[in-house]
Amino acid sequence: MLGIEIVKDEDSREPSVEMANAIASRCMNNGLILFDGPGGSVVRIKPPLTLTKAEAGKALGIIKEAIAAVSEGAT
Amino acid sequence: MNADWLALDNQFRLQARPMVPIVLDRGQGTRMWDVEGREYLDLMSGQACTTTGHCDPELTQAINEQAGRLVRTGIPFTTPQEVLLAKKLDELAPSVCNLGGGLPLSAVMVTKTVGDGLEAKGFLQISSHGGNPFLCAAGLATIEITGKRDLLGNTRRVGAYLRAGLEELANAMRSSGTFEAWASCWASRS
Repeated sequence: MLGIEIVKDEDSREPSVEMANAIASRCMNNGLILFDGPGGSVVRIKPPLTLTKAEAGKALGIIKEAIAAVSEGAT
Repeated sequence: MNADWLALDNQFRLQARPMVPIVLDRGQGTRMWDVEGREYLDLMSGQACTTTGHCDPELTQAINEQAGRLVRTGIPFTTPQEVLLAKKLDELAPSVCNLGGGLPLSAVMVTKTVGDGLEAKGFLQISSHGGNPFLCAAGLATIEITGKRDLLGNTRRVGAYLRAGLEELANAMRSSGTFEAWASCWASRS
């Protein structure tokens, strides 16, 4: 399992549940399921053990786009 | 349609948790499809339960065979599947074969009077969830598939790639003005 902890500010490290949920939602709209129930500010990644490198690369691209979009105010 | 099923869900099921607005229909390997036929890459794996991927043909065959043989007995009985799974777990991890490594997983504190009363009435320490050759057959097949296909080796290789990609993303976020309000850290579990 890998986790991406989303915080509002690097210094204060205040968690941002809203942004974490927005990132997971955007990923789902782009064909990537990351939802793991209600939660916290950590986007958790727990793929089947059969995940290929190509699929991991695709997932990274979707996650990267979602973080960028949400940071710019998209949902 | 997703919306139709969600409306029925809302009508008949307790809405105790935030729901994801899609309704899943089927899965194969690392992919799932919703009732509208839309495909998703699954990085959640049934909350880390579908380790061999969705509906693996070999696992499905083992489940089907056992479903047609014997599903549920009862705690007083044993079956070959339960014995074989216990033996396999003992081979793989001898120290955890017994639940809690042989230590109690939970405890209830009562007064001596209550404790003596329970003992006098013959209450026993037992475990639950026995008598289920069906699930044991599924467990055995899962362990076999995991070893045969070197899924742990694959996890190490792909996991390292995924982690490196996420760390690269975190570093880019820290050094970029666009992401100056963001920070990330990574937690890993082997």
